[in-house]
Amino acid sequence: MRKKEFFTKLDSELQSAAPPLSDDLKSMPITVSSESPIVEEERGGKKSFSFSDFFSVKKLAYFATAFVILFVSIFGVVSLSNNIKGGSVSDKVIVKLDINPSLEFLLNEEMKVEKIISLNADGDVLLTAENLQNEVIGKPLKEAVNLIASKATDLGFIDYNKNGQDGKYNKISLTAVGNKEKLPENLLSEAENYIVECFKQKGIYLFVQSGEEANANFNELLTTVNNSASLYMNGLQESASSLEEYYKELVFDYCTDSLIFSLNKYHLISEIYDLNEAIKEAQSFLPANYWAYNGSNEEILEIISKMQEKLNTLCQIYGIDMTERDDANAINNELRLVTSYQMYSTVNIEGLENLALTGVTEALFSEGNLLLIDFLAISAESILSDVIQLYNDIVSGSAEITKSRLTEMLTRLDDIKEKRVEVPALSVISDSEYEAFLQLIGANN
Amino acid sequence: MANRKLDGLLELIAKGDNNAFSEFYEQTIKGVYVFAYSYLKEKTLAEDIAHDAYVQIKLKAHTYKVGTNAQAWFLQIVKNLCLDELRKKSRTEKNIASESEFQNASYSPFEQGSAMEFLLSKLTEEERNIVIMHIYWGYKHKEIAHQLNLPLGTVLWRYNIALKKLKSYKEEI
Repeated sequence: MRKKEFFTKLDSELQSAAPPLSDDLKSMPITVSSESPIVEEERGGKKSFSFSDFFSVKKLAYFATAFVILFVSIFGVVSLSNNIKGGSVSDKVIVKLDINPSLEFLLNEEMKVEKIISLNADGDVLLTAENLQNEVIGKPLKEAVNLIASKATDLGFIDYNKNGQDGKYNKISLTAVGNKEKLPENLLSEAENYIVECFKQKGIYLFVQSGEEANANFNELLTTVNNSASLYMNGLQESASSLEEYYKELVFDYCTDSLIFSLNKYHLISEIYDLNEAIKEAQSFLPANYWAYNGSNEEILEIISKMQEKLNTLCQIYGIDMTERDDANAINNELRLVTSYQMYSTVNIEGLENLALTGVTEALFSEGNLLLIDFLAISAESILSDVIQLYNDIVSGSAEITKSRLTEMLTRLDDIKEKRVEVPALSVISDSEYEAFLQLIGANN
Repeated sequence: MANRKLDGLLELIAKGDNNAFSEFYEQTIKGVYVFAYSYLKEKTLAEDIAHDAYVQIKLKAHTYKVGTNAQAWFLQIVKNLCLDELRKKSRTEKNIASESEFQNASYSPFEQGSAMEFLLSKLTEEERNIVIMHIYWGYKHKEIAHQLNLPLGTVLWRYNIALKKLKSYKEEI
């Protein structure tokens, strides 16, 4: 039913249900004051920027990015007597935390979170989708960072599947920037150890790297942090270039999400194809495929069980239902599987895997980039043509069309979100297992 | 309901114009009722809230500053009444003597399969608030974002999700 029809029906129902103006109410006298009307506060307050007419794209990404980077910049206040009227030096320490999603913490003198700021669209997603703003305020750094990372896992920014195999793992970097003399000695190492242990208990491998950098402009940063809006969208400067860059970022994020989603579909189909071939190979006479096999060979039945699990996933996440084992549909289902599998044979999967790791950028759309064709082929949904058109609209400055297209894209992206699998309960990672993980990724120097 | 028109009506009501009050009522009752019903999910309570809201109009119209925001001012009245009722209701539920007494108050004027029941059952509270504020109260999304203390992007996103859900209405019945 179209939106208009729905609301017409709703309106008609309300017309019948809403109470008519009663005689009592009608006859009730109106209080009229001879005094000047009380000044009502406008509902204003902070004005939202006109460029807040857009929204973040990556809500609940289905698959995590390759790594999550946290930069923790610690700014010690050495002396503010030259910069602050009144002459007293503040003991407040600023902690800047960059994460993809990107966030910033402001810590008070007790090293507890006083303010949290989002630095990009994903940060907005994290802060608003999980109501993190209120949860982290007042917490020590290590707890706040752990909370952020945990929520990021729930939202798919950290992939619980990655365990160092095939060079894929979740990485967090903590970088302290500022006056080393003011930096609490164990702040970073404590946070690092705390987060690793918490994630080990959850059964998720997380590599945390910390370091320090110098910054000579602490006072400026302090002012910036104090004045910054909490949400990235609300803090974007009103300029044409900012709008274009922001839209582009949304489009590229969307493309990356779509690509990861499609690549995982390809991997799933490949695994299912291989399992089906294994079922046929295990039979010597009149081999039957997954759907037609009705024997009792234990080896084959075990493969069937594995394949069934993957077909269930394919159905649940991608809506492709080939789960029913039925002799009548055996040939059709195999044909569907083979067709899907072969469709990917012409695509540069390796190139796309690398693209998914690094993320889609403007470079993909540059003239002559053959990878774009592969990208379009594997992400073969109607939305992709919208992406291209949207990109062109952004570049040509068609803001109104851009906004409406982004609206549609968000809705479709939400379909991906709704099919996301919940993080399962995983086994606790032992110290030796974690050591082996560090060795695998070459991080235990 | 156009804000400017409500503004003008409130100004007249503040001067004692009962005809203006009647028109104000006609213009706003559906928005008030759907808002109250979506909060309280009971016909009797929603009617009570609506009644109380308009009593407040008669008592306080003179306190409204003309030219500010009639919608926001009135919506705040309705919302506060709903929240008070919810608090009262949660206390009452703990003390309820018989279940039937409570159930009698739960009668819904909207039958199964109605658009209203669909709105209540399919949308989250936030989605519902956004839709009602936009469709029945004429709020722009930016204004809704301010009212609900949400980022504009979130409001737009959830509004579109809500519309998508509502489009499936006919297919369900």
